[in-house]
Amino acid sequence: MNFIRTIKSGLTLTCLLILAIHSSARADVITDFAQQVAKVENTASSRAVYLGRLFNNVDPGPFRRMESMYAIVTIAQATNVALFIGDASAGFEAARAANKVFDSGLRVTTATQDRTEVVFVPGDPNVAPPQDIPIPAGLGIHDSLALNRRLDFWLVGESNSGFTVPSTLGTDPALFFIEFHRTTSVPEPSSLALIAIPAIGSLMRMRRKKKLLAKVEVNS
Amino acid sequence: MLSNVFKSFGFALLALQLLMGSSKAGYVFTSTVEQNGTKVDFKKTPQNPAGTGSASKIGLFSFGADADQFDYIRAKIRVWAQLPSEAIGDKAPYIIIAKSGTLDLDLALTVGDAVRLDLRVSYDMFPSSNGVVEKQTELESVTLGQSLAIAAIMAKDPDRKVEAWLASDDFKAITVPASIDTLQIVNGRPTIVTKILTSTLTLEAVPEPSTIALFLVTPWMAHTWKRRRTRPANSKPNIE
Repeated sequence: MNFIRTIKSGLTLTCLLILAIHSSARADVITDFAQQVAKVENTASSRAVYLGRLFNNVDPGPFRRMESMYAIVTIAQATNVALFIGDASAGFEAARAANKVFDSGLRVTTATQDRTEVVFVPGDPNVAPPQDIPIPAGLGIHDSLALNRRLDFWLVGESNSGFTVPSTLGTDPALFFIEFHRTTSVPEPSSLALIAIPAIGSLMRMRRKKKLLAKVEVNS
Repeated sequence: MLSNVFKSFGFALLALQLLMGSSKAGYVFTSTVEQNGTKVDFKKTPQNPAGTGSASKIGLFSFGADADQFDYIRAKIRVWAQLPSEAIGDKAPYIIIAKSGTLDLDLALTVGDAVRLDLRVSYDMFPSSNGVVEKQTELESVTLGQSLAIAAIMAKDPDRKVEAWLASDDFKAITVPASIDTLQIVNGRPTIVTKILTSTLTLEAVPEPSTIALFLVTPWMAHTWKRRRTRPANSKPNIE
């Protein structure tokens, strides 16, 4: 009986260990770029510019969420312009109301106010680490990719703000570039607790029973 | 003999004037500068200190030390800009000529340090795009009042330089960039190419009216002088 219990707890611990190793081992980087669409939607609450659609037909695979990212956009006269991502090709405000776009947490600010710049957020990929995406947004963005097999990107500022996003620069296309670091890790504390609590409970129960058995053997 | 001297002098002046004109490409003054890109709020009021529009400084143009001695009759501009698609017709941004060093264009227009021209840069002017494009206007007329204002603004600068601004009463999202960065993806990695942008302002001019009058009047005076001198000799005797 004791032998079976030991095997059971051993199995639980092994599963936990495998899960931990599995989570850290499954990471992926996806990149894509395209010409900026630069379609403007100005409402009383915001001024949103549609950058375009990327990651067409990208397989969601076993991954759970977008963990961190880089964004490189061509923009002028921007201060704290937010990057929203999701399913929103028709219109930004409608998609936001329907909870179909998510704030990536990235903010775009140009270095000067008199040039049309290529801005790296959070910095040059060769130097700066990628910026973490808030967990709910990371899950939402990946779910959107899994559901639609594409992602729409919007730059959003205050209503009537003066930032401009070009689609062309003379005869050249104005590009934007996105790199996601996605992972299979299950960061939600609830999931970890779900696995860890029964395992620890069974271990403690086993130890208590072991002690009781030892006591009984000594007494007898 | 005196009349001949006058006449010769007059024609010599006229010829000199014509010669000067041709050496200045027929009074077409052109200045090309690197774009500035500074943007300010425009059409500000006490109720709306941020203004309803914006103005972007195109650059500081120079037309020579005697630029304030001419009457400007027509103007055109070549400029790199990004305009919203609504910037057409009477909502298209227009050119303002301002004194060098202007910071507040609303104030400058009020005190006579700036003048608005009827020269518009429209979104639908070729090439129209949601991007930074090079626009070239046609030559548009400059009124006498505008011309006098331009000359007066030029005279306020020791080098006779003037600023040109692209102003809009309605739009904030207008960019006249000093330069553009082009993102290129090479072997999957991003690289940037920067291009400095320039603008050209062209002004067509005639000499100021007093100069024209002088050159027209001088031969006429010579002719009149000759007639007065020769009339007594050729006149018929008074029969009365």
